[in-house]
Amino acid sequence: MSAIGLEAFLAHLYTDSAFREAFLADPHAACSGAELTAAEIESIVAIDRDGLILAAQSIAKKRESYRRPRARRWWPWRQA
Amino acid sequence: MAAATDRVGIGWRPEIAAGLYLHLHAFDVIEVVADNYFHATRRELDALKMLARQCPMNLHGVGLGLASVSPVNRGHLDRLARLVGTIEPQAWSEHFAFVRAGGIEIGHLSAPPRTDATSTGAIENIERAARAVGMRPQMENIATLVEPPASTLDEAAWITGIAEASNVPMLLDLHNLYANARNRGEDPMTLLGAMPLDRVTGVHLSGGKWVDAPSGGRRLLDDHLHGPPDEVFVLLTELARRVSQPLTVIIERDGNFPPMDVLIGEMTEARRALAKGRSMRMASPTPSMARAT
Repeated sequence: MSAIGLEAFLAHLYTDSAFREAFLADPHAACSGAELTAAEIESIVAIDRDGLILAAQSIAKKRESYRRPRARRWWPWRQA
Repeated sequence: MAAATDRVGIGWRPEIAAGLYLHLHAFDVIEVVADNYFHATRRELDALKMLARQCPMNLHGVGLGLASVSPVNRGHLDRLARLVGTIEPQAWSEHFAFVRAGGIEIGHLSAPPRTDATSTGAIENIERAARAVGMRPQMENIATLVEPPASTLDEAAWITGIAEASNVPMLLDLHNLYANARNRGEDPMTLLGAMPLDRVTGVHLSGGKWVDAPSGGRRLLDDHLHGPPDEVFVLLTELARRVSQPLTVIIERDGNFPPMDVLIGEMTEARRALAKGRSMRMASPTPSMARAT
């Protein structure tokens, strides 16, 4: 079950800016209550913070792009 | 010239579809993002099918999230299977990534912890997907700005283990590989050599940009908004030198689209890189350089 909890924790960390801010301020506190082993917590606490912040920005930009209207599909045989 | 069976094509995008269609003769193959057609109308599906009859087509999935300890979303998989059944592409592909967990849709390809657990989950999900679709997927390496915590395997070992256990071909994104290596301070050529090259049948070429990291230094962001850098074409040459199997190379671009002649130029550059690698291989065959199966 911990592997499922680990993926869920990362999904939360990558997509929820408030949770991420709390994690960056106090990583151990943010991990408490999550379904993680002690070893997983230590690894998460040691995460590459720059990488996390940049990845989260990239994810936020992609999520934002889904809210914009998409280009219409174009088919030449519809022009006639 | 590249080997007769190497092919070079482009990712089909609605924003540039008119230009792509006018240059259809220039593409050996086109790649269409499958998820964009899950809710297409019958007429749109008929049009896509007609396009697939005019130019060899691969379907590229982005939303299955096969590299996860959780079973693949059945509804998403069924939609993909129906689309493949309708369009009858030459191949379909997905990623070594997870995209949802704990009820959260990440909305982006994300690297799961590289562990035995996610390896097993990916193998099971690939099998589910292959059964549902009726064709094994090509599996693509992803770019990640953050190394997944709690990993016990390095990227190449994790990918190799899954690919071999699943017996799937690999779609090797050379810019993803380049970006990950540079961001980890590794040599991209060394990472290339560690990948299961004997399984590579497809190649993606794209680009990105260097961004400032909050604590200083820079990271390479794979944004698909720029053309492939020279280093990626060098990797393609080396790949073509190392392997004997034919390669299908796709130029991927998701936005900031340049004029069509620039994209055609990138394809020409890819053909040149392939040809150079094949020539080097002919001049000095080194079949043992690819990993033994």
